[in-house]
Amino acid sequence: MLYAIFGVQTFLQRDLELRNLSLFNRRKGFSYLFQKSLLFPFSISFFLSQGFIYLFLLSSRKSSSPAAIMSSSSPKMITLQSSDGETFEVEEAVAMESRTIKHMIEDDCANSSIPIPNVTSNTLTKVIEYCKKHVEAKSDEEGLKSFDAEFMKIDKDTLYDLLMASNYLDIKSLLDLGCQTVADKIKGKNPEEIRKEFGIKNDFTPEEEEEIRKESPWVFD
Amino acid sequence: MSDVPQDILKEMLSRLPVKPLLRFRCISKQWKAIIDSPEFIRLHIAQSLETRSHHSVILRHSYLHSADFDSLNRTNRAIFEELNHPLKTPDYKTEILGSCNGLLCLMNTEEDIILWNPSTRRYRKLPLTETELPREGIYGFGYDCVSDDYKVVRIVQFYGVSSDTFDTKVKIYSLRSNSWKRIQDFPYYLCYRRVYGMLANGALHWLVTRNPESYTAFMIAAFDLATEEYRLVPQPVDSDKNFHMNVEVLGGCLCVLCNYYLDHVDIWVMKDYGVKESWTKLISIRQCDVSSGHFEVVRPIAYSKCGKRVLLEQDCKLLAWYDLEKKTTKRAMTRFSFDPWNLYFELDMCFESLVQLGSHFDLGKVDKKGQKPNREPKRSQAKAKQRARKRAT
Repeated sequence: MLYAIFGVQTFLQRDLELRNLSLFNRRKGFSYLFQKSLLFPFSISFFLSQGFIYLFLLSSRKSSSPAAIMSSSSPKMITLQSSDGETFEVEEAVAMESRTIKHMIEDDCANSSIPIPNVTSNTLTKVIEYCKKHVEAKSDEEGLKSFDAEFMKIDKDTLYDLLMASNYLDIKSLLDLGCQTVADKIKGKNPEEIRKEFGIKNDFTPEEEEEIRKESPWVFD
Repeated sequence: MSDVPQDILKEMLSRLPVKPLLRFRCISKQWKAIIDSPEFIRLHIAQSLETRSHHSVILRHSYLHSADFDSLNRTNRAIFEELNHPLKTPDYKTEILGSCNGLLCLMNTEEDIILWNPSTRRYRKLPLTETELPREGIYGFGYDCVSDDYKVVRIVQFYGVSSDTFDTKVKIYSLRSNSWKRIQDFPYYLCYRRVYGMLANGALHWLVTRNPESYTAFMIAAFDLATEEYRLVPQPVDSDKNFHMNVEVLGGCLCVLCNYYLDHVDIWVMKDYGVKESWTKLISIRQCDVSSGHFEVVRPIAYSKCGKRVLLEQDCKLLAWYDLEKKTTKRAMTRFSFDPWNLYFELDMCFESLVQLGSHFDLGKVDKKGQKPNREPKRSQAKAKQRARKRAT
């Protein structure tokens, strides 16, 4: 492209010179002087502009290959936006722990920030913390186990919010961890305690409930 | 948190053992519907199989005993406790014909066979069927995933006119129809009387030969529970007189044991069912590898939870873990609730499941079609009457 501009420029110059010559031949005097004086700065400005064009193209070519340069210096960042408007910047590898986000990135819908409408900023912070640890310490099984145990020492509401979030974001390991934690918590409870925990209304009549209890009486001791 | 979505609730419940699940059936109509639904029962089974949780090791000595597999996996210690099952009696040594999806098929005599779910404590007695000759049947028990049915196969074989031929009669019981039916004859000769069909990939497998006389050309025959047809399965090595071959199952895959008697034992696993090239030699144990120094026979029972070790039964009296990476064995400590002198046991794996056995979960009622009532030994008859009285109150 540079050469094309150069070529055009030289052609125009020559054209001008030729015209100049013809003018010179036809009319002498002021008009000739005028045109000649114009030609010199015109050609200078042409050279200068060509130089600027060249520099501009050079810089744009440099910037059009960011991957080669940027991957060696910093990883690609993805922006996530929680339901209450807060934004979080995470590395692409960490964001890809969520299958939902992974599909969005692959389908190229993740150019600007990704909105996560069902998840609040508190929950999203925790989710990102989990995914980060699991990406960083992937091979360290023992370390991950103790991290998971510590991570699950949270109150009931946060746990349920985490479960919903990991279900929506499709993070299998976090969902498994959360479900197993809840299962371990409720394993030994009796039906009344479960109803309280989950806020469930008993829609059986006392006779119906008695019938069901009779079917396997040994589980109630 | 009453607004927990159903699929998350199912995920949580599928990780529970059966006892709390049965308890939670009376919480609300929604919970009862979830726990009783066939898809949840399948999800619960799949979850147990994937994580190898809520499994137990069943041991058959004079009576049946069970030990928790989780604690054996974690602490290398197995404490066997007696299992109270409907066929328990001092007059017979109850056999286990098969274990599948948490159900055990138990037999005292040919007329006394039940399907039992140890976790829900329900059982279904098989109806009587005509026994052609006073000849013991060879059994197999498994699950047909196409029609979602549990089936028991009974093969009776006897010599034909000349000693080189044989006749068979095969009958199959289906839980859904609660009846026996005659099917096409088994085209191969079963080598061992007391070996039950090994369930892998929806088919039951036995070691067979073409006819009674050929003692060394062993083959593996499969009976497909869905199509009810027979076929041969390719073997890892052709049998010869240097070793003794056995068909086993490990982790749901078909397995072949080659016992080079008093030298070493090879255990092959067919990773891709039906593909001959997928036979992989998983374990090769030499006499010197074993801590007790000498063994005659070794059977693979199960993978550990992490998948890096295999539980082996050695000489029908020891349990040992084999480490697949380090290639070493480590004996497991066992404790029994009975006097372990003259120990000779057989092991099976079982896990907790909610599989239902139909409405007949009371005592083995006589089939209304007028089948002969079975004669129960006196002691268990008294116990049966006691149970009937308890259920009536």
